[in-house]
Amino acid sequence: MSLNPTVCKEPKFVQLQTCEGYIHDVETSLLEQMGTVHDLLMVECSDSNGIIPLLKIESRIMKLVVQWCRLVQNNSARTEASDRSTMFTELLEEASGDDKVVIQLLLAANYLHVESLLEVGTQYLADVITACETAEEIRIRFNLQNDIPSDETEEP
Amino acid sequence: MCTLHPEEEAHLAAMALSPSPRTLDSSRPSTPTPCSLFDVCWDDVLIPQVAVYLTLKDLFNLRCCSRTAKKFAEAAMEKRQELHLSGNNSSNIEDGFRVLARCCRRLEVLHLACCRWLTDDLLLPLLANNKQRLVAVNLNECINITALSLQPIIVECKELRVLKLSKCQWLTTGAVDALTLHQSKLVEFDISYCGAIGERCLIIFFRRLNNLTVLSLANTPSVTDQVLIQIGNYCRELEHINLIGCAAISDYGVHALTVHCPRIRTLLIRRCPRVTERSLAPLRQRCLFIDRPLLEGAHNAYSLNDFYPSSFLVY
Repeated sequence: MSLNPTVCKEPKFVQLQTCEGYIHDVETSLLEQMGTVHDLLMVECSDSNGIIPLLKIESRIMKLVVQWCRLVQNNSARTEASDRSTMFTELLEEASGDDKVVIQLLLAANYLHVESLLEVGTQYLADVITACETAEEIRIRFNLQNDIPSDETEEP
Repeated sequence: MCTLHPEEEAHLAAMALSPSPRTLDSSRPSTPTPCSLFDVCWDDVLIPQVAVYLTLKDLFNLRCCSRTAKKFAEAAMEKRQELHLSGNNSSNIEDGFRVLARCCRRLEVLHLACCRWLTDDLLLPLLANNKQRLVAVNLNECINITALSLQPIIVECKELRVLKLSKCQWLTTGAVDALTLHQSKLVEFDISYCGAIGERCLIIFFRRLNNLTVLSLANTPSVTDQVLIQIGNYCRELEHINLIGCAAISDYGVHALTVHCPRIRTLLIRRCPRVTERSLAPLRQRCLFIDRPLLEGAHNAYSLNDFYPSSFLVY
């Protein structure tokens, strides 16, 4: 499968395979937002069935990424950071997503080069960290174990 | 393709030893193991896009969370480009500053105004690690440092464009002479309330500052009409000048300055009793902002007859 118009007619959907083996049909119009997939298609890196493997991404996360790309495409006028933050928060609420989902979304966004999702996800994460008043609150929120030796704790 | 930070590699190696091994059989794709905050790429994402939004308080909180969090916070400090601590005189600031001095390596903007706790011993290590990139340094009212701290700034900060040293009574003529030799690209300069600087070194200094756009000489007793003439001759890009409390200047110097500096937009001359409407009235027609309001009948405070230069030199 290729996006080169001289080779074949541009398909409407592209098939992306996540790590569990599930196939996702994604509109090609959304691929502009997924730099990695777009580049893969340009060099015809899909397998013989035209399926592009994305083995680092779970199906649940892939769905959210695709939903986000659709939201951005359908709300192209809403480019303000606050609008995008609202869209992201609403997406998370609909998916009952927690901080782990946000981190997985960031990993997926970085892998797929979805810049808009990276921007809004990193801002969300920074806001969560800033909202924590103490180190203990950050540990609880992100499930971090305090493994700093006591002698290091006293050093500046 | 992102490169892994050494601590990221250690973190991922530790995860690889976790009790739930990944399936490597390609016919049975596996589910990624649960991930944590620090699994996100540090160099591509966490540092440039998350840490940039975090305050110093957030970074210091992270330093206390875990070993990995501490390494991340210090990696973020290393890349930080601006440090704003002006007015921060909290109880443990010196300990925090020692950490910043050790970790920060890419600072371009350094704001430490009114940091009364700051000493040469604290500041010099930070300057040693950041001298190549510093563009703006604000040491206004840092009363407990000396010209020793200024030396690396003057000699080694080749990219410096903004230098603020208001109320730095320790600033000497020798330091300004060194500035003259090494720093000719300054765009913004503040030496207000610096009483130890002589007129002659200022005259020589301004001959080299051809790119200056913002200048504050408020309450600097050695600023005379001769100094203003030099500024007018050599600092043709000047836009904003603060001469509040420069009692030695007169209409003569203001006239010479403003005739040669066509871009001037702000002139602050309160408490300059020898500057009158004789020099200010034409400037009001140029739509400059002048902090002294136009008073009825207040054309000449001292003499109706002449412009005269200041008749004394201050060393």
